[in-house]
Amino acid sequence: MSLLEVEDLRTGYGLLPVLQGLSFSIDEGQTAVLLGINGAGKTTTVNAIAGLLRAWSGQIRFEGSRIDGLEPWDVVARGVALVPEGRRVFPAMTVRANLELGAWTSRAQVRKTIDEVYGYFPRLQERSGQLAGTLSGGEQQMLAIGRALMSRPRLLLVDEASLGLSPLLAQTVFQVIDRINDDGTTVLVVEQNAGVLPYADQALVMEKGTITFDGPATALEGSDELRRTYLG
Amino acid sequence: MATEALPAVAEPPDLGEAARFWGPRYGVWALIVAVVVAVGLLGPNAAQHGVVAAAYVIVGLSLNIILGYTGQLSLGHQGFVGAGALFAAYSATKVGLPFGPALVIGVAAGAAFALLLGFVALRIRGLYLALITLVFGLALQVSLFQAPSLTNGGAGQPANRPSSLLAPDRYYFVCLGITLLVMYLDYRLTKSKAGRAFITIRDDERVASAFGINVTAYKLLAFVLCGATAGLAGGLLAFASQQFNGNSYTFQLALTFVLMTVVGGVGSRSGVVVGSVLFALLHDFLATFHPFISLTHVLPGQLSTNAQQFGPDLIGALLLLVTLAVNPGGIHAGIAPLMSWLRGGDFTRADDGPASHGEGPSGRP
Amino acid sequence: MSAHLVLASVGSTVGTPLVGGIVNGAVYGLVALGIVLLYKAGRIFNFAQAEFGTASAFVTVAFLQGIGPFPKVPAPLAVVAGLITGGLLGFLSERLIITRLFRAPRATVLVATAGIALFLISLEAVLLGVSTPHVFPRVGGQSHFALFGTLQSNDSYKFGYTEITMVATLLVVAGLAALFFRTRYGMAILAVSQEPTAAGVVGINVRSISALTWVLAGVLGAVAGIVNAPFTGALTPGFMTLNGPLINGFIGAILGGITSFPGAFVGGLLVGVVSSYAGQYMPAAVPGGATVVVAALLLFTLLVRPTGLLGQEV
Ligand SMILES: Nc1ncnc2c1ncn2[C@@H]1O[C@H](COP(=O)(O)OP(=O)(O)OP(=O)(O)O)[C@@H](O)[C@H]1O
Ligand SMILES: [Mg+2]
Repeated sequence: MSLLEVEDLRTGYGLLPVLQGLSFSIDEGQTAVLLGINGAGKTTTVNAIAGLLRAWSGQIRFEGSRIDGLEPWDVVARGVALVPEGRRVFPAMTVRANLELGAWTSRAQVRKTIDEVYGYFPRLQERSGQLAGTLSGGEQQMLAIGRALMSRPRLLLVDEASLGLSPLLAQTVFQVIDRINDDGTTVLVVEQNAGVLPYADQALVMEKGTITFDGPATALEGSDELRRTYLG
Repeated sequence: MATEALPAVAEPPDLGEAARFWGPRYGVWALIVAVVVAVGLLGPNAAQHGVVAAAYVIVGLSLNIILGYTGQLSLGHQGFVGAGALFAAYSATKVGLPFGPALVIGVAAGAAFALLLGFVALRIRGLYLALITLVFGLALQVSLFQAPSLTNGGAGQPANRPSSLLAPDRYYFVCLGITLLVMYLDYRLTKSKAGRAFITIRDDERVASAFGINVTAYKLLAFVLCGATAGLAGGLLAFASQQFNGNSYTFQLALTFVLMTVVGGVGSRSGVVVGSVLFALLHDFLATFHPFISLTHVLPGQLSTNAQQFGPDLIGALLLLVTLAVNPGGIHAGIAPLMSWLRGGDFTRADDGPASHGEGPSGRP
Repeated sequence: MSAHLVLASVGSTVGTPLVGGIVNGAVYGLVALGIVLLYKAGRIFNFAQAEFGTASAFVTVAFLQGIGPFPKVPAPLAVVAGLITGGLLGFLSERLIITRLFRAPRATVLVATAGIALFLISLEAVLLGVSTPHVFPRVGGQSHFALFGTLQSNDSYKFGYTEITMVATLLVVAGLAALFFRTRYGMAILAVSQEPTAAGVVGINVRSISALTWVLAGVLGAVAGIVNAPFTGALTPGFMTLNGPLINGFIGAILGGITSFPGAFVGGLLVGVVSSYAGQYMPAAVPGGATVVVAALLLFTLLVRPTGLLGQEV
């Protein structure tokens, strides 16, 4: 059984349909990458999984039980954490307070988890007393990922991991995601940057609200045609 | 997709024909005119209430200029209305001006105070400005309206109507005429260059100035027009009770004015007119409304008396809350099809006010 | 003349307005705290804030004196009943009205809160009438203290209801401050106000936090009303909204920079003291002098220092 199963998912905004029958699944321990041109519906997909958007029909199952229809805070409690598009750190709070709020649902080992996050992103430790709103874009991205990790999720959803980061920093973030995955967390990354493919096990390509490619990341990497279409 | 598989229902062409048939429309128009005229013929009591309703309609339209057309909330309208009433009464009684010129002085007073506030509004916006209007109205209420030299030491300033207008029914028809004139001018305003400028400014000030609209001038103009109409309503109210009494123009009255505009439907002329009439007559209406009376009679002792006296206020506030929570378009949303039909269009929902309500309460899906 | 009496006479010209101003100002400060709380949490101007206080004060007085169906209970219980009333009113306002206006313009939300205030005022009028005013008993008796100007020539200091209410106010403010700054729920309120989406995503139940915020605001309003009631004398429907606390609370909140709790309380005190002196020293020919002076203070602040006199976000 897969950790996450999305089956014939349809949803949208107001009366506008965006996802038109989306199906895919991710196995435990994998790193999956979700690719697609702007407006394909990637953010809509991860937001629907995280409970920010109601499903119109279809199912989302996590560890076999349905999570569509749950509120975002209940989804987190089940073990699915989202790094939302646009980072959305709490700007008027310190880095440390942001991380502590990330542990809202799992308060048992806050210290230990913060140390783990600092281990992934030493920069955050240096800046722990700084207001999050004054961090650089890249630092905010690290904080957003770190904050999501604070809930000790089994599935981490990252929307646009490398947006606005320098190529070097993007590589660093991918490496950290790889480490997070090695440490036992399943990851779904939305990305536009082809540099993520070497770190991914599974690749998903979206077009106009449906999945048009679902296979091993190496297959996508090998296919120049696909690469050119979706990654430019 | 299942949800959009519904085929379009066959269009009934005969309905379109019926909509173009003017007979029933004239009938409804005639009914409205008959009711409005009848108020003046039903005796002095009805006419007196009719005058208040007419004045409230003017206040509603005044608030609609500032709230509906420019998106600013005024919580100090008792100040403008009261200033109009005070100065009209003063110039009629102390200066000896005839009715018409005294009324003009009332209009000028409302406009002048609004202009003053308008200058502040150029610097301060949104909720802060709403608060400023509140404090401004309050300051007028507790200082100017109580000034001994203007109000006979607080006893009130008489405002006697000329003998030709002494009969309430005559005064009612004068007020009715003035109200219709204000409605027509308001209609012209929305169709004019200034009206379009107001809407553009409301939707986005920076866009407006990029279009070359003089934002400062139009904002001041909106305030002046708003204050002038409020002052006019005040003058009519002073002559209605034949005296200015500072204690009638309270913060609670300002809230009632906002209530009736919002319940009517911000930005919609017809909605605001209906809302204003409703709130002006709510007490009188409920006093003769049998279900309400019998309800209050069920209550024990003092409670029954209280309910008769204050129940209408309670119902008014409840109307507002229900409007906001359930039907943000207000009365306007309910009567829009009727209004559209009465004007010769189809019986469908149509906006008779300015286009999309940026600041109106209907701005949610 | 003994030093005692000098003190007393200085006290009565300078001190009496001061103590009156501080008492009123504490009430304004409490109202301002509630206003700031809701402004921080959702950028809402709550015009029902003071009316939560009126309703709560009426419930307290009803329990204190056993009016109508209310049983007569000891003072602390009556006060607790008042506080619960305030919290409940805040909760109901949020659930029934405010949540439905999630996407409405802010002016509409303001009108809605004003509607809640008007609804409560009319409800009080229907239930209680306006002809039989209810007097809130003063617990602890008149205070006598030289600096506060009420000392008779050979009285000694007596701890009275002024001091009792001041101490109670400070305790409540300290308690709420602790709740806000020392528990994770205070953090959650701030998180929801800064990034509602992210707050939900980290697992904060945004809906219950919003309700909690309104409950807190309602309780703060209740404290303001119950503190104010003994000084008001005869309680009339809407006394907190129509007689000054609401508007002066707003002005205090803005003087304090609208997002600062300490600023709001100090701002409220300032408004209280300024209007007290203005009332004392403005010429009698200018009716409503205190209101005019405070209005000028607000206008000056907004035009010259829109971030408030004390302002920074705390
Ligand atoms: N709040 C919204 N209201 C209406 N339409 C929306 C909303 N959010 C997204 N859409 C529309 O839904 C479609 C999918 O958007 P989505 O954000 O999921 O795309 P995306 O794949 O994440 O794109 P990008 O790579 O640019 O982030 C787009 O056409 C977008 O315009
Ligand atoms: Mg996206």
